[in-house]
Amino acid sequence: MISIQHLTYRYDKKAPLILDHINLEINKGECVALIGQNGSGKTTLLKQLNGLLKPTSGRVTINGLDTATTKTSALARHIGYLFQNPDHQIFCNTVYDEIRFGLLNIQCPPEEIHDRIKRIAGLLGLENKLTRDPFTLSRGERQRVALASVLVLETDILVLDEPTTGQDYRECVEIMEIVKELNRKGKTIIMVSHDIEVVADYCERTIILHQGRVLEDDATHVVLRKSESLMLSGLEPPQIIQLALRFGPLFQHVRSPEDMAEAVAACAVPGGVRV
Amino acid sequence: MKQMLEYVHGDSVIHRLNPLVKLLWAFLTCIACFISSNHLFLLGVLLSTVVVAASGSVLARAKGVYKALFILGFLLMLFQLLFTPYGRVYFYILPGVPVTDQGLSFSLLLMLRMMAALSPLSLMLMLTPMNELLTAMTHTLRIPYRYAFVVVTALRFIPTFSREMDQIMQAQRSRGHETDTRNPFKKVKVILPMCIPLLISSVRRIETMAISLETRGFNTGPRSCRKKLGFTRFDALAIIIVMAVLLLSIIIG
Amino acid sequence: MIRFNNVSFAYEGSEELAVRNINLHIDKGEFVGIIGPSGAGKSTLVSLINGVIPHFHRGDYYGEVLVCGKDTLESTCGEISRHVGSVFQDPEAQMVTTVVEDEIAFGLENFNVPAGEIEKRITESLKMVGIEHLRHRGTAALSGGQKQRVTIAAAIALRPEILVLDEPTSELDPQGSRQVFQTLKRLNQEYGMTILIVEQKVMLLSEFCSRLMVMEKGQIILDGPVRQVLEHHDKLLELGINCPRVVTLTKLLKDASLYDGDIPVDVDEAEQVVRKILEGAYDQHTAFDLSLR
Ligand SMILES: Nc1ncnc2c1ncn2[C@@H]1O[C@H](COP(=O)(O)OP(=O)(O)OP(=O)(O)O)[C@@H](O)[C@H]1O
Ligand SMILES: Nc1ncnc2c1ncn2[C@@H]1O[C@H](COP(=O)(O)OP(=O)(O)O)[C@@H](O)[C@H]1O
Ligand SMILES: [Mg+2]
Ligand SMILES: [Mg+2]
Repeated sequence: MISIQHLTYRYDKKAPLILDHINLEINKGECVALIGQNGSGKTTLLKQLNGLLKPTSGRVTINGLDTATTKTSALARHIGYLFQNPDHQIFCNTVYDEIRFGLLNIQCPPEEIHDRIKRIAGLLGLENKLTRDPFTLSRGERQRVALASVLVLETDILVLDEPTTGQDYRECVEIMEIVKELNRKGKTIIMVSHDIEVVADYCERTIILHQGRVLEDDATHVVLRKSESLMLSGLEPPQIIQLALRFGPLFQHVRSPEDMAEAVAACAVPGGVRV
Repeated sequence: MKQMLEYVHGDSVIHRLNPLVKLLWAFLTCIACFISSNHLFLLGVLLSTVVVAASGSVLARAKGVYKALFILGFLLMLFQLLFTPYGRVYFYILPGVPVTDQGLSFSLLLMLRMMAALSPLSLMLMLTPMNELLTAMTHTLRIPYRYAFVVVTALRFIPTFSREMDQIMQAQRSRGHETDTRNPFKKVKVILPMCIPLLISSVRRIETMAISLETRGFNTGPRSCRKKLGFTRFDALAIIIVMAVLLLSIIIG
Repeated sequence: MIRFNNVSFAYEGSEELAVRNINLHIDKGEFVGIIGPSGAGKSTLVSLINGVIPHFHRGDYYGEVLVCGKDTLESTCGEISRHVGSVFQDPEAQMVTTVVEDEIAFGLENFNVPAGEIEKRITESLKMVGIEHLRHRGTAALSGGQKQRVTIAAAIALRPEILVLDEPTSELDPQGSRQVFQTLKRLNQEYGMTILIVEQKVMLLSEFCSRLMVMEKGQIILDGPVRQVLEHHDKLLELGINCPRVVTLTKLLKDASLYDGDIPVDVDEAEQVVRKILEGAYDQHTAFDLSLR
């Protein structure tokens, strides 16, 4: 589905390498998290996937199409791309037009357009903002407009650069549930996030990028145990894990507050007898 | 395109020149190019800008500038060539449209002038930090800060504007709009409707920039200035060279 | 330092009030966190403090906002900026120069800080947010998180009496966010800087702030010392705000009547809580054993 071979990239001839010999295969139906420090090259890598940036050397192919020779506008039928900053993406005067823009380009039948816009706006809580000028919305709302305009295209692959920034916890969960539902329906998802809980809860596979190289690439629960790599990628283990670690082997199996509470209760009252 | 006029950090002799000297160089060279109508002189000036670009190690970036100027100059040259009916006729491109020796010579001159006169301006922008230019304008030339700031920011808006355009085009093509077509006619057709959103977003940018300026104390009282601008032997030398070039242009005409 | 008397505001062209009936008092040296869903009016509240409302955004404005004793309606944005430093939500929109170090120097020069001091502050504030290596880079060619760090550095370099930050760490990696909060805490303690920060990372807010405000639909619905607000665990969840996991844990421990003290706000405190329970249990346990014997 997505295949990256020996990809290197630099923005400028004399500039340093931003991507350094990346090799990746991503299969249909996967949900992959890409994590790493600020400036590690995550956005640069994502932009290679739909040809917004072209490889300095190496090859990137999407459904067999080489991004170096395929136009981004043609790749758009396969890949939906959410920009890190919604303001890089939004350019129409109303939310409705913004969501509609892509639909017009993929020759969506006119009778379907309105329904599709309504449906996606409903999902993302934008139904009563459709006539607003996106630039008068709050940042979090703009983020959802940008997301709606990508999701509405129903492409096979979704590339999402920090889809949940500016959202509160509930909105974040709602967005991720939508994304996950799409994934269940067979869409391939690649997303960047700095939120380790989101990564742990929603992505099966995690790639850590560090200084333009792939540092780790494995099942999420495996990667999240590698504390050294996590430190390098600017992450910290979840609070409960940090807490559990302070007690040596005592709470070694703890994952969530519920686990921890149970474990503490069990230690506090051995044999299940309370005085 | 978007990087053509942006400052590139460095520590070369050219970078260390007083910004006013660089400004003087850009303007006087431009004037000299308009005074002179000598092919060789203009070619010489053009080559000298290449030397400047190389010693400031921005040759790679400058290539883009030369290319753009060349294309523009070439179009101008063609135009001029076809509409100069006097002089000795070499041959006819189309029935009734002759190519003449004077036409050829004049249009070549036009192209050289265009390239030699404009490249120093863009090189100056690449080799001078905006901040230093601002300081020079306010402290040495005594232009009031707010006007100087407007001028410098206007210069800066050229790259910002093209970056903005690039962003919108990226956003559009990643949603299937063919802004990346190679066909020039199609491209114009795709880009024209973009002008309005571009204008709107630029106005917005100016508004948000105004907010940022005000909330950081812009123009609220006396200002300090971080860098003292020196005047070295190199500056003196540069001025002498620039003056000599100007003089030469007057002498040889 | 900051006082809101019955403040409401509706942006031009919308009938809805973006914030309504805000009464608020913030003292010198407080470190206040604000949290709430998107569209709750957090940014609007911040704009009311730094004077962006009413000086830039038009609309219907009710009540009065006093900053350092002066009505923001009567002073200009520039005058307010002498007391209040701001970091806005969108880093790109607030960059005014093309090079990172110039961006930091810009405000300092405007406030007539001497040249030597400027150099010192640039170095220091870049270091505080972990981007010394970007000093000479162009601002346009930075990653999202790097840009955000630059704007934070530019604001803290000014050492204002009051610093308001609107979701300043939304694009930062977790260690970077923590570093920013540590820096703010230091400024708060060393210079008595009053800090108001809008944030979605409740874990960091509860660890570093002294006071927490929760906003929803234009109103402040919870306001008080961090621990007190966190006591409303269920209410917060209902509002869609994630409590720090150690708070959830404490709640569970309380429900199991294993603990009934103060709510811990960070891992260190949580460790104390758990140790106390374990040790207590040990004592009881041995007591139990003894009594058997
Ligand atoms: N247009 C550009 N020109 C030159 N260098 C750039 C450009 N964009 C980004 N860079 C540099 O490339 C590196 C990687 O940037 P990238 O945007 O891919 O980072 P990222 O991993 O997405 O970071 P973040 O988490 O902050 O978004 C950074 O050091 C950045 O400064
Ligand atoms: N410039 C503006 N013009 C009109 N309405 C706005 C503007 N900015 C924000 N709003 C509206 O005001 C409300 C509060 O927005 P905001 O304060 O930005 O929320 P938050 O920062 O909590 O996400 C939202 O409904 C938003 O759509
Ligand atoms: Mg990024
Ligand atoms: Mg906001």
